[in-house]
Amino acid sequence: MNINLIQIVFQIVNFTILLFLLRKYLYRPILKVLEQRAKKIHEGLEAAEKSIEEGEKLEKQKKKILLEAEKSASEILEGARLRAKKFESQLSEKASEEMERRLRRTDRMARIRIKQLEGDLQKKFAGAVVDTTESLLKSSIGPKEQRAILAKQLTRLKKVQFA
Amino acid sequence: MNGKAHIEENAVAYVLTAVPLTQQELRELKTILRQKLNREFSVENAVDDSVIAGMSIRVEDRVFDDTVKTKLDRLRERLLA
Repeated sequence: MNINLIQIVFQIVNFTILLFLLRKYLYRPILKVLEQRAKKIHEGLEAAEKSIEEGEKLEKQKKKILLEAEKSASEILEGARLRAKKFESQLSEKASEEMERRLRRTDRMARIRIKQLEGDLQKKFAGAVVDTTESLLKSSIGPKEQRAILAKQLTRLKKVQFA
Repeated sequence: MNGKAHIEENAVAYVLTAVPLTQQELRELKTILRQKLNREFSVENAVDDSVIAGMSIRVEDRVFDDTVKTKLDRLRERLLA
């Protein structure tokens, strides 16, 4: 077997030079690129993680805001319900008071009217009684009674003061 | 002065009755008027059955109305007031 030493050395030198050249002009740039790529990927991953975190944070905030909004809406509704109930009660009270007032007024007017009618009736009755009495007296006072009345009046005349 | 009260001259008393006054009633009336008013009165008796009973006397500006009709009218006025 013939081993060519010079060729081997030459190959080694060649290989070394190649290695050196490759390292300088290929390996390093590629490594740099790979490093940059890795860095970008890493950054991208970090950004994605951050993004996810932000998203989760936003989601939490959103939930919190929704809860608060629900609570606020609920409070507003409750407040509105209470006001409506109060208003309804006030209206009802006012209506009741108004009805009461009208009833009292009607009652008062009715009493006044009844009193008026009673008065009218009394007057009519009194008038009728006097008229009847007059008729009765006219028919029942005879000459004897006339004389008796005149005698009585003459007696009374004696006591009268003529001013 | 003889102590007697001076009696004034005649005047007229108008009397309204439902029936004519008898002479006795007229005399009695004149006596009462003389005693009360110190005058002699002649009595003019008018009759109106609408007064129903009793008498109404008018002497000068004084009126003494005791008729049943007047009493009923006063009663009616009071009741209707």
